[in-house]
Amino acid sequence: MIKSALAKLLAVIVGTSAVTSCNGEASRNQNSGSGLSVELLVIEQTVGKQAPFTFQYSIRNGTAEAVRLLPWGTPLEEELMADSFNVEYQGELLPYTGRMVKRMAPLDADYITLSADETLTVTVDLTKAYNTSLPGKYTVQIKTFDDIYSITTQFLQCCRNR
Amino acid sequence: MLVILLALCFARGAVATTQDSLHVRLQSTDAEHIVVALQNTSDESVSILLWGSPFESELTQDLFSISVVNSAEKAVFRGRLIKRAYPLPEDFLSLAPGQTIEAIVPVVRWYDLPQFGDFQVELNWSAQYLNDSGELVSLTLTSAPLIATLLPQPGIRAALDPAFESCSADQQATIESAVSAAEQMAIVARDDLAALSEEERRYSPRYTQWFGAYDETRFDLVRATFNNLGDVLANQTLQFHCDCDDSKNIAYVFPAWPYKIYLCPAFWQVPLTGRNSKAGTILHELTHFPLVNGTSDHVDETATAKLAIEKPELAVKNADSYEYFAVNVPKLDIFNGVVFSELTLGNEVRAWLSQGQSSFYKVIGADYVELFSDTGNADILVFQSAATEIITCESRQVAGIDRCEVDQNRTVYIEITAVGEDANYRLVANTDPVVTVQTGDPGTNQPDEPVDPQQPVTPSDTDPAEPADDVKLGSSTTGTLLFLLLLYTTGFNNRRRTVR
Repeated sequence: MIKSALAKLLAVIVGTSAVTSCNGEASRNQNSGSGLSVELLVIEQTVGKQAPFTFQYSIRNGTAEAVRLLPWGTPLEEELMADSFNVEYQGELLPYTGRMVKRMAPLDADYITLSADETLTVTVDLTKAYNTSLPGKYTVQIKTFDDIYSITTQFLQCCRNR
Repeated sequence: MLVILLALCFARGAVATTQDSLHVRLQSTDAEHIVVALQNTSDESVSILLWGSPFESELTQDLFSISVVNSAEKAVFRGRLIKRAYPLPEDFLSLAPGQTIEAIVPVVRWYDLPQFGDFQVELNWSAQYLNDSGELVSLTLTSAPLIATLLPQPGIRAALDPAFESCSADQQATIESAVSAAEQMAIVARDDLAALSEEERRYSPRYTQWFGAYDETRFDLVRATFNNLGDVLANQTLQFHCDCDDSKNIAYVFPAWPYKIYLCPAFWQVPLTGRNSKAGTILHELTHFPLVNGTSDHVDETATAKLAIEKPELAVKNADSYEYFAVNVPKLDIFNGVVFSELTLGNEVRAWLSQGQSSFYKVIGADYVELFSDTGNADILVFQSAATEIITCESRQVAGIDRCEVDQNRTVYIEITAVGEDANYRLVANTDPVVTVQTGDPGTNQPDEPVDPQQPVTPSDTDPAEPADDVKLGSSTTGTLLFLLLLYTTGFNNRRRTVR
């Protein structure tokens, strides 16, 4: 049974000896530093009063081999299922308002594969997971608990119009 | 002093006792307690060791056999099994001829009962009493079986009725038993944590398995979390929603909305208790709420134990760590089972050990421990920590004195075992004698000035294992004195006494 977690972004290098062990240890060793990297990008510098508060989230496989990932609990899922970001507004961290899910063990079909040098980009809507309705400046940071992948963009600031 | 008192007691309480002179019987009183009545049917008084008996406030032996009527299912003892050093007079209970004494034992505190219902209860107590010669003798006291109605752990049923949304009657009944089991687990976890002394915490197999190395702040958070879980389960209305249709999910919550729990199709497939069970899931989900702990899901099941080792600071913020600690499958003991009696430097301890048994001691500030086996053969083991894993000294003389040099700067943990036969032994821990160091002015003794009296220096020939660190003290010069001071301030004492 596996629960969603950003930190648990399970990366398994396909076609190497690490595949057999299929665990976080292997992936960490393979990917710490330059292996996998994630990046947040601003789509619009400011968003309107009612507009969704969105970012681009990119994950890149910088290795020369394909990587298998369990997207559970990462922003790669359609809906945020974990408190994956530190969202700060007027100096305070906003509470996570999204879901936290306990799931059965993942099946093969639950994994996604990133080819060598492939980058996967998704749009993340923060509105559902954090209360970002008030006008002003928000600071967004990807939470990290592990060194499974490196983070290119640490802080990101964006604003909502009055 | 203690030794003398003990000897007096031995002389006073010593009588012959047979199997026929002590009788036990059980009585039912309420749904939480069993009364144990012990009668001395002989015409002489009997002194019985309180340790591990039903007459101690804490039950430290698995004395009762409690099974579901007409079933092989037995309640599991969850008290701690304590090994203790040597009894004092106050550790005995004296029974006059014909006298009956009763103990009211809260058995539901010490046994995990599977459910409310009728149980067959028997006492099987390996009692110890003093015989004519003042020796402890074992005697098995067995009661007739008693049928008693027992209710698991008081307070278990305090949980408010949960509220339901889109749940069928069957589902509601299932949820109610899961909530009840969850509350029971939370209370057991809370009480078990509370029972750990500070010393015991870092060696608790169950705590360290799921939360890693002991640290006061982290331990306090774990305790607070289980306290909060107990409070929430007893005093808050949980709201269950049964309309989740994602078949992969077991359950989910929005941490910002206490105490709504959304149950998904997989929830109905998992067992009631155990890892990733219904009860476990409820505890898991409740820890996500900020008022309980505000946990995240940091790792998957396979990595939970590893998280405790590598990142205990995340383990105490990880929902599964709490769930697995609470459900306790496979079962791990909260106590590591050994209690160490404190030795006082220079005070000889005199005790008796039956064959194959051990006594445990700890001491700080000693240079050595010495063991004299007056009868039988007792041996010394010295351990690096209370975990009793790494042996730093072992002395197994068959005849003569067992001796271990120990590290004066640390607490050392000592096990005394009786090999082959029962043993009467004397144990003493002490510092090496202080050596007089003379200054440049002949005839003026300054015995204590160069070093702290608690950190005396020994002549080199008592420590032949470490010639490199030996310091010859014979030259009696100010130079030597300064050299010693220098060594002392640079950690000389630490280096001199290495463990072997």
